[in-house]
Amino acid sequence: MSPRFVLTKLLRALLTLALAVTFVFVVLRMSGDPVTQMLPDDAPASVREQYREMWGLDRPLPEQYLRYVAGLARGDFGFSFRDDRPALDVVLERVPLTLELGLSALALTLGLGLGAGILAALRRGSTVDHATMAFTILGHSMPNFFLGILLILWLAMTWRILPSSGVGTWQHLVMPTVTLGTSYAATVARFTRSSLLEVLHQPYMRTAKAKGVPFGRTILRHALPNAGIPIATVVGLRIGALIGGAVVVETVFAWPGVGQLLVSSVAYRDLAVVQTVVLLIAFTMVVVNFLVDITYGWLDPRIGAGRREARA
Amino acid sequence: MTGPLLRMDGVGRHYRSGGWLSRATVTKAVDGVDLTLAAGETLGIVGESGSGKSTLGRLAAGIEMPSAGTVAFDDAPYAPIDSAAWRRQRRRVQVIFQNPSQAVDPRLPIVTQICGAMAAHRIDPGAGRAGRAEAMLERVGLGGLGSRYPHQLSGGQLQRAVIARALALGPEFIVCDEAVSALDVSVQAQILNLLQDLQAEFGLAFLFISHDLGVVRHVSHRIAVMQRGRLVEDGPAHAVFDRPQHPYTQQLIAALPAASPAARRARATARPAAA
Repeated sequence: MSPRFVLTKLLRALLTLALAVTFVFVVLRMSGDPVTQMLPDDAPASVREQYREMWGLDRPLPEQYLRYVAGLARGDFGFSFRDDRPALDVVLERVPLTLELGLSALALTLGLGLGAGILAALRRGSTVDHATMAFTILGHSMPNFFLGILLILWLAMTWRILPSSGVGTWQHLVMPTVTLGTSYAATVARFTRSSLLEVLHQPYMRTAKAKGVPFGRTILRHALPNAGIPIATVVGLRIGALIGGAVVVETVFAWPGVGQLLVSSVAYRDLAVVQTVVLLIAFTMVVVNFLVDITYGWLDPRIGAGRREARA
Repeated sequence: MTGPLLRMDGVGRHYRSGGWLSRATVTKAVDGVDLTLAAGETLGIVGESGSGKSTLGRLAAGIEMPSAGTVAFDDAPYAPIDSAAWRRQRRRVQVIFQNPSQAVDPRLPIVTQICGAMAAHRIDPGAGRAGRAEAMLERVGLGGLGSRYPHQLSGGQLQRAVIARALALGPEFIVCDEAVSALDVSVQAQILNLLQDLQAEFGLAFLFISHDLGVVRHVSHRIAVMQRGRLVEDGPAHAVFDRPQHPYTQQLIAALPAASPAARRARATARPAAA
């Protein structure tokens, strides 16, 4: 990786983060007065004013923004209205649970998505292929929360084999993982199948076969790496979304992660916490994108993640 | 080995198309072809597009099975496609296709691809393998370029790399299917000369398929002319060119661009009605 490549990526990442921060900051402050949530409805106007002053909400918007950004530069993410402690602490303590759910859903996404996609491509037109494609349509079109509620209905209410919500044991993890993982697996399976099919028809695949290269080796060595770019792209997007995208699933299963925190904080207009969560999501996206870029170069040396092109 | 290296008897390859909603039709891409090829010999196959040359090449290489007749390599028919025995036979029979850029994995350095082909046949395991790959690249005039990726080589260089990859397996028979047609004329000559040198050096047999009669004449000992799936003429290269027997062969040769103005005039007076 050349320094130029890293620098470009870094600047782009900072710009992305800055835009996300600014956008959320402005939109949140236009969406209503947080003080109405903090105080009872019959609180006198003087108390409201006092609260506004206390949280600095009486200042002009540009000043508030500059104060906030200056705070960020010092590592100060603001104070949570609701918890009355640093927003960063409030968010960070939720991260491990979201990671736990996100990673197990990712494992399911990759295992199921790649596996089914590869199988469908290699057995194109077979029953396996048709069944896989039918399931991916189902996975795509069924909303997360609906599948989640169905699972709760069957597995928790009717058969009582899994807990319906909460955290603690591995059983608690099963339904959220399945709910989150299957819809992403459907996307990954479709991309894997189509990009693998494209590569399988390349003349160099036939050439490898004609050279006596065993089938499995042609797939592992030539087909999958060449089909890998679109797959890496969609998997990358999904990984990024796993952190923030668990919002719905966490809410359905009362999984106390970052997504659930976001929902309740938006409802409470806990500005600093919402901003921190959005920043975290944006940060994850940026990091994952960077990793995907590096993967591109590894999968296809022609792209060479900033690698200096060998002179031809 | 007692007989010729390759022997085709009454070989046909028929494709069925349609038949579900439309009426099924059978296309005879190759039909009743008999030919032989001795070790160290070059047989040129000429014919227009769609005459079945490439299908014949694939049948001869054993990467496609005939629907009629027999193809015998080294006195035995090819093993069923994808069987272990078939994969082992692949070492002895190589194919060089028209477009080298499609015959290589775009994301691997060429030396890796040469080693990959050798690995499939467990040739020179260990450190010797890279050395052999480098030696083959050296032999085809690409010494020191092994670490290049396919897109970093020109068409001619890439075809040389493909030839090196085939040679690394130590084959006895190479099917060249329009192997120089995608290259410009000066590069064509270099590759053709290279193939001839390699033939002398390694005792290779070539089945050389081309629509370009000039190219085929340059490299072939014997020439077979194909028309609509059948062989219409077959003989020593000079005989086919100088005294073509079949009207189709005569047409093909007449269609060649004349090499000099004098030859062009001579041809014009010989065929006044042609204009």
